Amino acid sequence: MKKFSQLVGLLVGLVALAAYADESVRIINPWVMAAPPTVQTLAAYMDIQNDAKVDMTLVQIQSPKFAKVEIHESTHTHDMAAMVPHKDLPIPSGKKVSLKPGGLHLMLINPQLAIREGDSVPLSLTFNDGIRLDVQAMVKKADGDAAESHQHSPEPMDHHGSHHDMH
Amino acid sequence: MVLLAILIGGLAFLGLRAGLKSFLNQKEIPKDLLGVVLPSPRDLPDFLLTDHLGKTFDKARFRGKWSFLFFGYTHCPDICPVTMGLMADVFKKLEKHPQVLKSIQGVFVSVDAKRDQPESLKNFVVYFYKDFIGVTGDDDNIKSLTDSLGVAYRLSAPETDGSYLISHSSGIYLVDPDGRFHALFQPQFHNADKIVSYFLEMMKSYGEQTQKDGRT
Repeated sequence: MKKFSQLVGLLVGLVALAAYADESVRIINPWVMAAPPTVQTLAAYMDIQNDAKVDMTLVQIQSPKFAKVEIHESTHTHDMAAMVPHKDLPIPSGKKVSLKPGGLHLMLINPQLAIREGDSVPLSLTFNDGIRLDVQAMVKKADGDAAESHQHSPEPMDHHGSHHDMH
Repeated sequence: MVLLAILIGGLAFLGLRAGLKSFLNQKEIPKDLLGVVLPSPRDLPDFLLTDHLGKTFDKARFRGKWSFLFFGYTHCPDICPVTMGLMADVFKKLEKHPQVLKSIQGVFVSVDAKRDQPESLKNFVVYFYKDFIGVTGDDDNIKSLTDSLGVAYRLSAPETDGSYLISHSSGIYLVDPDGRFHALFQPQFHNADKIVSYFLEMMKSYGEQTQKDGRT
């Protein structure tokens, strides 16, 4: 009988744990794109999964290894690439937001020390409800296909197109 | 009238394609290549820049080699390393063709003259590929190169700490061994295998053209 109640207790505990995991926001596969150790900015990528019943917003990111961290998005218009800073990043309930090369990323600014491939970068992500998630992002080279992830559907060739953006 | 214009335009286009095909007289150029190679190569103006070793980088440095050019800045953490990595992949794949590798150079041109000095460029470009060249210089000289290639860039208003972002064309520009703007790989073509196969085709048709012109 004692064994049985222990088992029930364990099961209840597991179910509670599973429910907790299911109803929160999670960071999946955080990583930092390796770059020359002399650069002053790097980019971190990850998936942010919101299994909570409410919409969440990522409001602040900090790292002890960098002076500051900002949310940025690379955009493409014609063949012009631009970075647009975002004040915060909404993660709707039940949705996953992917930060990946050529799109959304966390811009890590002014490293205290040179960051090299294989290093681990601690990141603290704070959401609007006060939840703070601490993750370690491994510094690694982009996968071969990362370079393709900012592709968009082919447009008609226009060698002068970029000039229009200047005027 | 409009219909007639379209008809004539269409016929001219087909004729041009047929002509191009029969001229090549070999394997058909991948269809996409028609959107990559310029209808006719464009001469470039003079400019005077400095490479990452402190040597002069002017128009003469294009002569005799195919140059892959990418325009960016080292404070760019996303698009620039991704594209430099891609260009490095292209060069690594071409290591299988030593003759081709000898006749190409990869050039990163900084559009951030204020922050990118030759020394910081050196660390940047060599990280991606040992033979890559980093180029910087004053705004006027950068502009004469970028304008002639149709490369656009624009600095954002600086933040309180003085930092700023730069939007810039993200294509890979190809200058031929005659120092002429020859082709442009826009971002939708940014795949190492695609670029390698297009480039090998391009080199071949260029070789046949120069032979036909009686040049060496």
